[in-house]
Amino acid sequence: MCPAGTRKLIFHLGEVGFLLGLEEVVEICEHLTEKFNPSRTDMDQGIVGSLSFRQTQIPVVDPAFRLNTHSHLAITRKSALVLRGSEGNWALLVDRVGGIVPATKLAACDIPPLLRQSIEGCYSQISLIEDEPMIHFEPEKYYGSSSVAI
Amino acid sequence: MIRYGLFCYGSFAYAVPLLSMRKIVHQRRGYLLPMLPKVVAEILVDDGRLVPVVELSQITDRQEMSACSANYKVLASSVAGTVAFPAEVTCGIVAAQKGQLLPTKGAGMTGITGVFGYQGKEYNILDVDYLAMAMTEEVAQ
Repeated sequence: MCPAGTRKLIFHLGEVGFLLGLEEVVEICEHLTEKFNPSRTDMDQGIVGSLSFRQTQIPVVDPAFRLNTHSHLAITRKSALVLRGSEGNWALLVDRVGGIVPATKLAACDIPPLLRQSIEGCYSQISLIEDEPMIHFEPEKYYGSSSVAI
Repeated sequence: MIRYGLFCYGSFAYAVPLLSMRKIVHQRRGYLLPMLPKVVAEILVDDGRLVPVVELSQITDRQEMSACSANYKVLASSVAGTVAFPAEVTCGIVAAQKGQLLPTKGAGMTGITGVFGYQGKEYNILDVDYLAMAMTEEVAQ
């Protein structure tokens, strides 16, 4: 079996595929209805609520705000990826989780120079899986030390 | 000898100088990525490389259809890399001397260097470099 650092978790926001290092992931939470609390928000930070996780409340970040992606799913029908952060665990809201892929299945792919300016600050690396572009999700760009704890 | 690759998209016809044209792909799946410039309709993957598809409605100011649904994509080289244009119908390759070069008529049709008249039809000659660079200018605005 490959070590976690060489495997990626696939998830989707709308129709867009993302890759996340498996070593970043603590747990995948589904069926959010009873765990999600929408009353604790900080929209400037993309925090849309909190999640009850192992007897604590952790912030839930919706990356769709930053990435300007659209989803038809209600929050409670989405999944939350609980991630390790410098300030503790936090949850990333995603539309669906697609499985795990070894890094050897990824083909490196340059981002065209024409697009680099517009995507700057949101993502910087794309790989192909069977010719489908997948964005390498960079958690530090969505939640970090500058964010307000809830 | 100058030659043009001709194609139609929406209610307009276009010409790309053959020296810029790389290939035409048919029914190739396109992908949407976040934060793309508005002038980019979608992204194609060609030979393991990402190619932005230019939204031609930016030229015509008419939102007639989505470039994503176009059957064909015409790939062309620009100074800043390969870009693609949506096409519903491809109309072949024609030598410039077989038609007439006409001045542009449409006000506000930026990205057009002229009009190529051929067999009673007017093809807008695309300025591939300008349209490619528009992807970065939009961000700078």
